[in-house]
Amino acid sequence: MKRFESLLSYVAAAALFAMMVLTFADVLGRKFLGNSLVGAVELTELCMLVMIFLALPLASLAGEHIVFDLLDRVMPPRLLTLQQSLANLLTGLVFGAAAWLVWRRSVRTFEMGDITARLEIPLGPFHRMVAAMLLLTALVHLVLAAREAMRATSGQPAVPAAGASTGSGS
Amino acid sequence: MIEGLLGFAAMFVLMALRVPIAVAMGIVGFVGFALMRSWPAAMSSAAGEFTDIGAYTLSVVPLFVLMGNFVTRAGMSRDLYQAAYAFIGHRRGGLALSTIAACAGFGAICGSSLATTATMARVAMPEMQRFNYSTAFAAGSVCAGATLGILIPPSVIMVIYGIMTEQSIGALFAAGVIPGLVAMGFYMLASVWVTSRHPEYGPPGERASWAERLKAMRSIWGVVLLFAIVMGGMYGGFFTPTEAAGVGAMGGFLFALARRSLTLPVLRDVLVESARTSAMLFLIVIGASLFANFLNFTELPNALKEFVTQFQIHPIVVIIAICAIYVVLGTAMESLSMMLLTVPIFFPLVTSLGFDPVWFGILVVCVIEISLITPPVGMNIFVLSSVMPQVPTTTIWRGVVPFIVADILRMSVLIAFPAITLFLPKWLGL
Repeated sequence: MKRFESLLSYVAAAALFAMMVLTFADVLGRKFLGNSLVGAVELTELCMLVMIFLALPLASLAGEHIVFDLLDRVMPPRLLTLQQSLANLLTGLVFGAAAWLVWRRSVRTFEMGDITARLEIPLGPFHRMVAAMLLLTALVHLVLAAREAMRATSGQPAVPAAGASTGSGS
Repeated sequence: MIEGLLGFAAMFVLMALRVPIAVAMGIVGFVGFALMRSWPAAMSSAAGEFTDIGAYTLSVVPLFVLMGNFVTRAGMSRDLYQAAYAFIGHRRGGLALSTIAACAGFGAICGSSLATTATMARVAMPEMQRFNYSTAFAAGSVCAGATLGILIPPSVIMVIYGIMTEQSIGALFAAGVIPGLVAMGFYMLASVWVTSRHPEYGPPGERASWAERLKAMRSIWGVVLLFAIVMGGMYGGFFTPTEAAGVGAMGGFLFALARRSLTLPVLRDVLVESARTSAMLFLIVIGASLFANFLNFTELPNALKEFVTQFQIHPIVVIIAICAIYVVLGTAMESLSMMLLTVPIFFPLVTSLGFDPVWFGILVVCVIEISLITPPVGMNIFVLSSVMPQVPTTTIWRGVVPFIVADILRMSVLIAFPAITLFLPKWLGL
């Protein structure tokens, strides 16, 4: 499990690094060598899909999604754990539904044989990857929900780590 | 219209249940759209939101996030602080003034206020504590100064506003420069006002010789160079904002490398952290755009427009009311989701009244800055107290009050004189 997590994070990190290098090389090539890198734009786009959706389950696991937690202070701890569990259950179901929607889309992408404009890379596998990662994110939330449900019934106090609101673009 | 209000109500219920805000917006947007149009249409557009998030123009977001994280690791905030300190540290409240100036400088290479808070708190707070500054005043100056991170370009928030409202990111960045300097001035006035009433809150630091000042100035060349390349390249027509972000990230990477602050594990951390932040941001963007699609079908934006024309409310009153709503919402809501939730409603109204969309964007960024430091939910306050756990949150709350007053004065000036905001983009021909 731990190993799989670090595999995901290494690939996401590599994809982001590649985006940076591709964009930089594209600019350099155009300014100093007179021609831009062939397919840099579409490679950047594919790297971005990989980066975002591999990092999504990691963000969920780290509890980085922003939640409205102003009511946490007034909630009894046990009720709070139950609430966290329900919220994660609902979030998991939503990601599961999203995975199914994107999977249907990927079937169509395969059928149409969609490819990128310059390098003719097939898009189907990438859409399928998005669906798979959404499913994984759903599983992360369902596991968190189950864990919290057990904690709520066994009467252990809430752990604020899951779903604590930290980090944002602002 | 009633559907739109119901949608908002449902969203707030889900939020109160502790469902992530992005997911709450997505559920309401999807279900609302399906009920008003059809389920197949909703399903098709929702699937598209996920697969199209990889669009090239959006890559500007992760690249600016990455640039900010690299320059944070490169320790450039310390150089900026020391340079500012060498010039103004010996004045009364000089360390707080230096903090604000250094925050503005850091904002010029980092597009995130939270990153600015974290890095400046580590650099400036120990210094101010060494000189026996009032903890509240010191913390207030860091929290407030760091909000400049999103006003002075580059700015991740401005990029997201630009993408949502289809405004030029270059124009928004240019528009942020002068208001950023005005904001810095108001923050400095606020700290001068505090120390003139309570000189013991901010004793003067040590005076630096001119030789030391020159030396400190020379050490910030990296910051100046990075800003010059990114902004100069963008406005000199050498590259697009997306490419500027890529070049900026590369620049930040090279600086961090040259300063030996990057080991392989650190590099991996920076990349993974930026990737996770980007995933979190894009999830909000997806949720918000599902929600916005639904809102467009509810006629709620139009109903608001009609309401304003029917009662012949003066446009400036509308702007002031919107800003007031933002300040109130901002005390309890996280800033980015607040912006994404409200802009689909306010933006059509404001532009139909004839206001400049870029100017409104800068106002939105300013109210977001206020929301970052207003309790109970002020993200900068949370970040500072997580970096400095020994400082009680209530102390920070006391310290930010004079700066919130300065923010409101600044907002009034920006509303009264739109030219402050629009001069630079006009001059650059954007």
